[in-house]
Amino acid sequence: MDAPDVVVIGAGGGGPVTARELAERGLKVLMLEAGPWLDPSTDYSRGEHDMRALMNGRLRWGPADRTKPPWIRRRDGTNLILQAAGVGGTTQHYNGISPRMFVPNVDDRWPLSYADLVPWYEQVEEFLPVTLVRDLATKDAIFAEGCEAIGLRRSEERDVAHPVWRPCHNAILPIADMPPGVDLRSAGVEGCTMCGHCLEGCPNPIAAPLERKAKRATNVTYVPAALATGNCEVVPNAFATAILFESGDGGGSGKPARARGVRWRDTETGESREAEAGAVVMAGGSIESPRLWLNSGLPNSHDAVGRRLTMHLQDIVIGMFDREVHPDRGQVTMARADFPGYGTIFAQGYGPQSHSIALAGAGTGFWDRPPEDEPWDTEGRFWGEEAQRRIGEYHRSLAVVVSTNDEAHRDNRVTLADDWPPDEHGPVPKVTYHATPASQERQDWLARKSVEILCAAGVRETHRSNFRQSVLMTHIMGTMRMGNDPATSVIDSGSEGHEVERLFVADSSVLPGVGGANPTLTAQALSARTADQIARRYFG
Amino acid sequence: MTGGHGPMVRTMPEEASLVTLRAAIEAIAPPVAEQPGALEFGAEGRVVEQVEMYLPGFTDMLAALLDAFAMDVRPGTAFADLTPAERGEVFRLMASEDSHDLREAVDAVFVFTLGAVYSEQSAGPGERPAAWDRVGFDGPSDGHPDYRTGL
Repeated sequence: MDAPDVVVIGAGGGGPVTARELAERGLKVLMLEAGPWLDPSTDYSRGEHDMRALMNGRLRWGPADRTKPPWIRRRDGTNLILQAAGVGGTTQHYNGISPRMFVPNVDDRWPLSYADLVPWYEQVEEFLPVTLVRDLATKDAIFAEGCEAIGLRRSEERDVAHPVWRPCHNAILPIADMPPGVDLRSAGVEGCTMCGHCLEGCPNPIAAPLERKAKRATNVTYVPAALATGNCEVVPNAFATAILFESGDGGGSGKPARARGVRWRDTETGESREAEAGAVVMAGGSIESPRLWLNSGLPNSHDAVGRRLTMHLQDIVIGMFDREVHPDRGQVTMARADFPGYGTIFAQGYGPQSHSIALAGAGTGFWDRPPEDEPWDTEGRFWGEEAQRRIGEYHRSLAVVVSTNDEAHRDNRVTLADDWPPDEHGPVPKVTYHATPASQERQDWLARKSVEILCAAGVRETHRSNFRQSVLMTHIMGTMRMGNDPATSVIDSGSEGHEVERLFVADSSVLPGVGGANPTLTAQALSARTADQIARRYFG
Repeated sequence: MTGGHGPMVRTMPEEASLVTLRAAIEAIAPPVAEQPGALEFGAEGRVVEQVEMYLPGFTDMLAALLDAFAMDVRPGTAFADLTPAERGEVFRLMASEDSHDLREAVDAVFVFTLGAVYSEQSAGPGERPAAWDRVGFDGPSDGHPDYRTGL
């Protein structure tokens, strides 16, 4: 594309939202994506290893050529970083749950009010769509039984300020009509077939066209819609290596720099290319957006870029029942319990590989050293015959994911690893995260609440993975924080850089904290709003 | 674990390192009634592939670490010559160290071993993994009309 109006870096959860909204307004948008462009119908094999292997799965953070190693990060305090490259980004492997953030986490903490966000939530919820699940699979119904047994009120509301349990609002089409004998591969099947493969990428219904695949990842929603305007071009295998900018206050904004374009590297050929544009949108996520900013040499006067990383300090509690649970059936998550102030917990269906790793593969503690004064029976790592026996109970197991409202500490951050060699895209990021005591207490509280719910549901035995030291990063946020004070934030309330004119951010890195609720919908709502801000400020 | 330290240069682990790795795999996922162990599933090759992609040369490094900690469990004994219970003690010692890298080394061998047993890679093309029958997993699915079974 010659002379785009806007370049969007990253075609994951947020970038395509901004791209589509701008393209709809007639602007020419060039969207770059570091990873490949997969076809759900042919490339999503539904194999746990084939799709999700950290080193060479199709949805890994790495180049399209899977014989090459993944892209690297230096890590301090965190082990597993679950992030996907490719058009659709991490929405390819997320479970689609799309709650709004907790109301108390916005007011007085963000430069926007919750009321400001609601119209943008509604816009994205209508477009995807985000649908309240109208039935629960067995695993989720068991979770719901436990919630009700401990006195949690059922809610179907999108706005949460008090403890409740909820059927989920998911970016997944309604459950398909599947009468006895239905051929699930026939063209007449519409909606979610409850296959349980949300985390491996959703190829179902098999016969559905791209835009009608059940899970509403951005590669089947916002990306096709952006392309359909005729104003958007998507370039996969394009790893952004620098923001092009001019120093000095040429535009009269008072800012020390002005973005003018992007340089990227073709990951297949190694060729370097550039495009100039009227505005640039960074949407590569909470690790790559600050990395790109720092590698570009952009102004960072207050050393705010990359700081205040949060990730919901996730953990897993597994309950083993004497009844069939079928964790592989249904949408991966259909029921949740929300506890503003602490975070959220939700039922999670896993395949056997993920289940075995959650139960035995990592974590703090050892299975044969039961914790004192805690309600779970075992914690940490399993091995040997005992591990195999426990894993064998997969079909009677229910995993509950803990997603903590972790504190934003300024020293949890993304920087450049100056003690590691650079890769082909420049100095590599260093990700540092150490949970604060308050964050750890909240995680522990949620783990105990998970056990309480599972016990109320009739569980026989519980195990806490206890990812206290082997920290699992999924909901990575906050490193390009939105705020009014440049000393503690990177972008203003319109998502534009405090110090860089015409440079915007449209991914979860802008979030100052969502309270533990899954962040994608909030990032998408802000991305839609960012498009509006870009258009008003520079293309009005 | 998202990668190691730079461009991949393929290396072949030392044979002695593979002996040590096999012992670790066997201790993590041994045979149980009705199911072969990870080694019988051919896990060794798949674990080496993942470990070497994570960090070229890491198989040798991992073996050296296991042997070093084995000395603390039974002096003068290589890891591969320890009993399964003693190998578990080595895992404990390594995972208990105040070292991110050591914990990650343990994570790596556990995660890759379990993946080799319980994912589709434990079977040949078009074959159904034996582990799936034991754990009650239906396998890749077009959908589950019976998603409320048991309620």
